[in-house]
Amino acid sequence: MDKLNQEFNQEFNQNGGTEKTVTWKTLGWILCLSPALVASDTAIHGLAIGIYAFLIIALSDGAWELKPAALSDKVKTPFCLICAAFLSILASLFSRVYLPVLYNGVGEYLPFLALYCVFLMTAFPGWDFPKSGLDLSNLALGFVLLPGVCGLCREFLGAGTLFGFEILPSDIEPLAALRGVPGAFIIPGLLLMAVNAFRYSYYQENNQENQENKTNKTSQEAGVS
Amino acid sequence: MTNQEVYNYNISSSPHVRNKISTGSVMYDVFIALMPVSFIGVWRFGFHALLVILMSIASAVLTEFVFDYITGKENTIRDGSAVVTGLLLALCLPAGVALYIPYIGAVFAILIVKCLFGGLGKNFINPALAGRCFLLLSFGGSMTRYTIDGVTGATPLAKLASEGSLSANYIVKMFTGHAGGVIGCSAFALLIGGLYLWVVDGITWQIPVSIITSFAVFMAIFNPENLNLGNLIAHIAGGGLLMAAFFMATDPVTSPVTGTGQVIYGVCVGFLSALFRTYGASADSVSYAVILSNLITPLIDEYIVPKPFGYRADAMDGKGIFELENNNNQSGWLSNLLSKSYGNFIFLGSGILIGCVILYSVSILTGGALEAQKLSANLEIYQAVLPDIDKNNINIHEISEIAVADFDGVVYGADFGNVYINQAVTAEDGENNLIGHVISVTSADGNDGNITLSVGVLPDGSIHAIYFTELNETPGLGMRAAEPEFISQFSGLYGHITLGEDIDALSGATVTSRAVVNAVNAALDFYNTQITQINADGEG
Repeated sequence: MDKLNQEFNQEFNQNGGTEKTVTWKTLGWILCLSPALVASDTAIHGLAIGIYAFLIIALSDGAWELKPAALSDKVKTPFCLICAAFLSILASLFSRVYLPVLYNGVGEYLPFLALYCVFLMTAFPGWDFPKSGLDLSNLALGFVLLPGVCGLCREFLGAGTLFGFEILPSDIEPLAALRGVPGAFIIPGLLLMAVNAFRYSYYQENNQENQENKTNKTSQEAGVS
Repeated sequence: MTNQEVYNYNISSSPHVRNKISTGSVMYDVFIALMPVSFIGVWRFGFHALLVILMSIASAVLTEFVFDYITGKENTIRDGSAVVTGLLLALCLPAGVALYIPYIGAVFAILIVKCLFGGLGKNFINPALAGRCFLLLSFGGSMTRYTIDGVTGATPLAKLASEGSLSANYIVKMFTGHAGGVIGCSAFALLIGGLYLWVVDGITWQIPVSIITSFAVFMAIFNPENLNLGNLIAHIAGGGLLMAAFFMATDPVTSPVTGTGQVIYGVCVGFLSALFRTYGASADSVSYAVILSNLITPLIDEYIVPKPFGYRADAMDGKGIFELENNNNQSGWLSNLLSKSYGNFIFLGSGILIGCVILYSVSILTGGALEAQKLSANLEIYQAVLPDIDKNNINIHEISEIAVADFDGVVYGADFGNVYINQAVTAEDGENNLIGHVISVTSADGNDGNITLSVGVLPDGSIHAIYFTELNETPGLGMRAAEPEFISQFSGLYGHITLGEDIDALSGATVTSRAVVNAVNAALDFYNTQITQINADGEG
């Protein structure tokens, strides 16, 4: 995790630091994430999108493993792009017929799932490594978590329901803006803020311990308080 | 020199002549400039308006204080920007809102739009306008209920839209603040405030002038009815344009630095405001226009650079102004791929072809199942709206040849608002006895989008039942239209239904109720005119 932080800080400073935080690359990331987040209106939709994404990614990665050995690794990105597009449209066709209730809520965003899956596949560290079953289950947890938690927050704060059950008493008006499309960007932003704060404080703790160890050692050696 | 004497000399680098201006003084000027509007608003709308203003200011200051305290930053409430943001937000709210609304709006504006992006000087859009848009999206009902003297009435712009023109008397009322609207609606007071702000160098003249003139020009272009001077003045004086032109768009953080840039920015705001007001469906057009223009301000600043002191034109030759974050290393995988042998290409190409074939076949295979599903869904609807429908023993004929085709995609009638007839079917049982007709009608006048419902009409012209197929209204308010208590009111009615007499509206959801009643009336009218005609002419 330290290495990841260092790389991020390096790139952050190279791209102008706090002045130009939104580079074209970050914009691309946000655009790729947005269909899945906009589609997560409710917790169930978010979980569904996450599960769709996991299945698409798992199948694409699995199909890549079946490639002829003569292919170079550079073909992985376009191949997985094609696989993701193909599988997302397949998912859309199937859910249109067999999961109509889900399709009403999430159906218009299913073809865009390809973007989301390609982004996750290429931005995920470990892109070039062959994956074991445990890796796949980790993928599942992560990729289901983001739209799922986003959907949960948007549903609760924006409509007062949880998994379809009305939780908030009816005379408290929920913040409907969070349930709509603006919420798809505000809520994940706040979630990321919380996650980064946690990571930062955890990182600081670790760093703190290292520093304390060092000062303890030097004061002992020097014999000066 | 003794040490004491040295300390009397201020040793610092140039510049040694400084302007008295500071963030606090600019904010103070803006606050003073907003006093006329606030006074007239409170005087006109009563004590509750004062409470709204105070609540908004207090929650803005409190939010900033708490955020600075929690994050350990230096406390910035002394520069008065939170106070001004709170006041601006309050002046954009109707006078009768419950007090939690300015609180939530101020918290959103200060916390999310200002503090989380870096505090003063780093917000990317105007916090007060962002707060207002957030409130408009969240609490649409409360934010569009305007009361004058305790009576709920229409805003001047709504009146203009429905009546086509306003009397000169009414326009003068808009200027003095006697017409309805938000707390800060007196155009005269806004003009005075803006003038004062310009005189004390709080704002530059470019932005307000360019906004107002470009707005007027584009309003005239988009809707030639607006060439009437009265209408134009009414459009300028209402809808929050003056407030935005003088106080919101001129926020120095989110507007361009140079004069030329400011003119371009103002034209952009005016164009978008006119566009949204003429063609947009939202209650507030200027807010979104200003926010969008705030987003392109960095772009304007990138291209229109202020001339540095001592600038010589030829010194900058050959140096680009705008360098993209050039992805220099991204001649990456694609060109590498293409320059290789075509083995990869064949692999990918064949993958694409196989994928297309599979998708096509799947879509054909599932198409059949989809049709069956739609049919059964339709049967459910018909069962809900007509009596005695036996699934196996029913003939459905679609009346599409003459009647509906004429109205396909066209607004039906003139008295029903934006209603469209989607489909009309005749339901006959196995022995070809007429059970009734089902008319599917959509009203685009719903609060949050389209409302589509199916009306089951019996042969004697009365409604048997209605059924909603598309209802995306506010949960708890408009969504209660789908409840049996509301639907059962329609059974047995015929002719023309009046909201309030034949049907009780949903409390708190008048827009939804009106849209539903209009849709049902349109369906009944369609039945009475078209279908009976067809039946009289024989099977069409």
